[in-house]
Amino acid sequence: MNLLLLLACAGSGPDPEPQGTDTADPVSSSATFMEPLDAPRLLRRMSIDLRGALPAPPDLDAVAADPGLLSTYRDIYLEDPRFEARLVQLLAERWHTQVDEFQVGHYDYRLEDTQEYAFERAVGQEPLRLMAHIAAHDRPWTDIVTTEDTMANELLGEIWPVDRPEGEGWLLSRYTDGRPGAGVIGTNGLWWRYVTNPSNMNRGRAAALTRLLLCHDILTRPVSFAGSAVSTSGTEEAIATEPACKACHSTVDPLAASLFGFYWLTQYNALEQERYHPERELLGEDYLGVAPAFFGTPVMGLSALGEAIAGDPRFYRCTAETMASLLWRREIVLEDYTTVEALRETFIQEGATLKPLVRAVTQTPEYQAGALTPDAPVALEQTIHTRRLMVTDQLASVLEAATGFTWTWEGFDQLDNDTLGFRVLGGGVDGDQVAQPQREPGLTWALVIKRAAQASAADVVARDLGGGLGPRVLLEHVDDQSRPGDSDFQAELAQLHWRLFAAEPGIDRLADATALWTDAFQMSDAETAWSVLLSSMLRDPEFVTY
Amino acid sequence: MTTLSRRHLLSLMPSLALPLRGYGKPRPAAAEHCFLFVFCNGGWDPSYVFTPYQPLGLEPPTGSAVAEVGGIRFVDTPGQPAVRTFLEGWGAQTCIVNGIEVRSITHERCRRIIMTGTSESGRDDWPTLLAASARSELLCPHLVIGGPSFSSLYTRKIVRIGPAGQLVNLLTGDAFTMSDRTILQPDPGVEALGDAFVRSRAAALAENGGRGREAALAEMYGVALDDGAGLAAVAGDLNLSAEEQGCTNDLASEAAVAFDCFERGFSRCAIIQSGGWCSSGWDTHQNGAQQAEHFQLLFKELAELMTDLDGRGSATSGALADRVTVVVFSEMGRHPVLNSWGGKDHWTYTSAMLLGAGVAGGQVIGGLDSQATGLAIDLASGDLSEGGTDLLPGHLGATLLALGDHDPGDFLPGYDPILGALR
Repeated sequence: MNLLLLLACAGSGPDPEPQGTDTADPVSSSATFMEPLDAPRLLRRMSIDLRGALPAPPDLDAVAADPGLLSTYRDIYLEDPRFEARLVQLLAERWHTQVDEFQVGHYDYRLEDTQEYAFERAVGQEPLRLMAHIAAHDRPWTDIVTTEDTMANELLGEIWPVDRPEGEGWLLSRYTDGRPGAGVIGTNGLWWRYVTNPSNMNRGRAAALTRLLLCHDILTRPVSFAGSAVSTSGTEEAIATEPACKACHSTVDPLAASLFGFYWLTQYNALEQERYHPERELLGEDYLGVAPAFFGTPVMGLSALGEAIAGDPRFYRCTAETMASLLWRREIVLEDYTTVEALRETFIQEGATLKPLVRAVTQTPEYQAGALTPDAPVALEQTIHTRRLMVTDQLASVLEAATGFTWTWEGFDQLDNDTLGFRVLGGGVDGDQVAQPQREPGLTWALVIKRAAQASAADVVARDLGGGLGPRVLLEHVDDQSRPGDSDFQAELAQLHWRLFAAEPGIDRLADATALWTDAFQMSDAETAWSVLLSSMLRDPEFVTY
Repeated sequence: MTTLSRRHLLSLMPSLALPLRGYGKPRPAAAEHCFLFVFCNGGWDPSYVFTPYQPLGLEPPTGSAVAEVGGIRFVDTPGQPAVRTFLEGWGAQTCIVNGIEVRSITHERCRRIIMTGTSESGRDDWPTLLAASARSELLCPHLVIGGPSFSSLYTRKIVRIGPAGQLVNLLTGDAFTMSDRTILQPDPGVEALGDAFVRSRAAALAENGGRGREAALAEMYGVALDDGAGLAAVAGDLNLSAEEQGCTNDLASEAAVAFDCFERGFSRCAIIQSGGWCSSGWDTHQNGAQQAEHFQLLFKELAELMTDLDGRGSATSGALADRVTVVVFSEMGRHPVLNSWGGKDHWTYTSAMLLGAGVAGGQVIGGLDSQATGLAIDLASGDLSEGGTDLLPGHLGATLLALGDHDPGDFLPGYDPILGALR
């Protein structure tokens, strides 16, 4: 994070007066080498990124006719209920809380094995859901570290000490165990992922906190004991006396001391871990020998820590950097300084709510790039992701939206777990061993795509051609008697290409698709032929990238 | 204006420098030098086997004594007789490297550092680099059976088998049986039509995708489809699922999966993970004596896998053991002093063990000084040397790359291999 070293010395906190600009206008020399996507394909990219779904054909028609409507649709997508769910998955790539195992398991709550996945995701999503809710409801982003709210679904409402209103799904809730309001840093979900032990005493948590919220990664500092006397003293003594240790611990330990309401005297104990312990807040100073503080400024309690983070200029820069990275689908590097700084300014000028920042990122040339100009430096081919790979969470939501298919098994979402499923094999992040999504196709990614496409296609074709009740999902025109040459057959192919790829099919592609259908039909029947054609389209390189 | 051919572009981009291949063509299996990485998760305590702490004047593990077998000086500790047994059998092929400084004290970062040489993301680990540098086109260049994997440019070279046999289920279509909704597996003939269609689409887009990643991703997709088809064709003859032994994974069984793939020319690297006795992990902040149980199990399993390795090969291909190096390592060591809970906290110096092909066995390289910090060595001889080189993970990586017949300078500028560890 070299960029942050520079950023740390530049700029200031939030400007009190908005400057009136509504778009980011980042300056980037590489931007001159980028060719934007055409309007339908850019709409498709925004729809996948912001809603996890393909754009509806009428939306594609509209922007094809008037590309100026792109921003209108983008804003509509930002208000789509699916934006909140999509943010959960995006933020999970960075926060790594959606792990498959915690120190406390579903069995500790006497839940059935079929509830294991639901339990693990409920815990891991708690902080993500809170951030996504704050973003989707245009609350100040600082709320993520200051609010008294959390989010809970039915399961968490049942097992944790939270006051959750009646209703379905994830709802704003409050803990009832006396914990201070501090947004995500007051959630069980965050600290169940970032655990501690009697030796560590919340230090790892402090490092996670500064990395996630300030992009200040303490752990990148080299730790060397050569020439020191650390080895002959106990660890705690060395931390307190050795310069090599104090260099980091003078920052880390006061932060760690402020987190002792989450200090667990017994590991692997549900009652111990699910509850905040106000009576232990003062233990930090006792155990660590330092008073709670935030980079030199004393803080009294978890709420004060949240307020301190919200007042740190790095919090805003980190948010801009994080969202740019998530939407550009790559790591941020030093050369991004100017662009990220422009995004930060926009974020602050727009009231420090997340949607304007997301909007600004989608307006950057890099986000909109679909190709490079012929004279572009070769190095840009690697750094600018003019085409992005869909990974399992995107694939799952896009397939569900397009076909209605969800791959579940005995309570597990098979595209969102690694215990039995295919999340990491399909390019996803497990939050433990795999920290960033796959950027390029590989063998297991292609296999996951294949099986998910086959399953989705077979499912939707059976439903759409089966003549059952309910509206059709994907196949609009044909029935099992439609044949190549029939107008409904040709119309179906055209609408599928438009819907799935946001591109008008050429004659050759229609002919290829027809030939595949015909070959499959000769070996089987119409339903199978449609299933084969559709599954092939759902794993077409134009479908699985965006 | 610059105009570049696609082949030239690919050659200039490390990430995309894939061999241009005809889709569906069979690829010959070449006799690569292969690497099995055995990762001990949690931070082992080298003082139980590798590095006596007597210079510190500290109590060694109860009942232990420094011993020597075949040129290897080690800590002979009661409760872990498998260590001696192993060294008696394979010590001549074993090189222990002590005093590697990882310069971090958190598991996550140490894992990354010991495997990539840096704490920063965006680097490929040693097995991934070696796999990506294979001379031949491999179906599963780096097989992740268990343990960590860090990748950036060469993620596509990694093939994970999954803890529940997911790879096999995907290859065979048995994945469809793991669904609440009934999913009928397509008829193979019809499925082949779809496969060919997608492959032709990838090829077309690779040719006509223009400047940028569209064509590159399509090309890689085509390769992935080929590899998937190739692996599916042999999946029936290949055991890609490891077994468990009670409460722990079975390292020997997992190694057998890797060796199968090495033998057939499918993989160059593989990684498996030791979680210690009953998978309780090597991170012994409490009950440090449990390290003895972990080492006992580890060395027993190492003996089993080396026995397996020694028995593999054929008259035509030669002995597999002649071209497999086993790398046993952990992300960190443990502080020399016991903490208040009878365990040991993290320490920045660790050890690694190299076994097998290309390794100058029967020796210990490096060591710890009276402060339990690393001693410098002469990289050429491996001997301790005042004013020599302090060992860092980059030196381990450079050594492995050199073993793999690559110039470490191409990947790790500034790091020379420990030539003294190589035959």
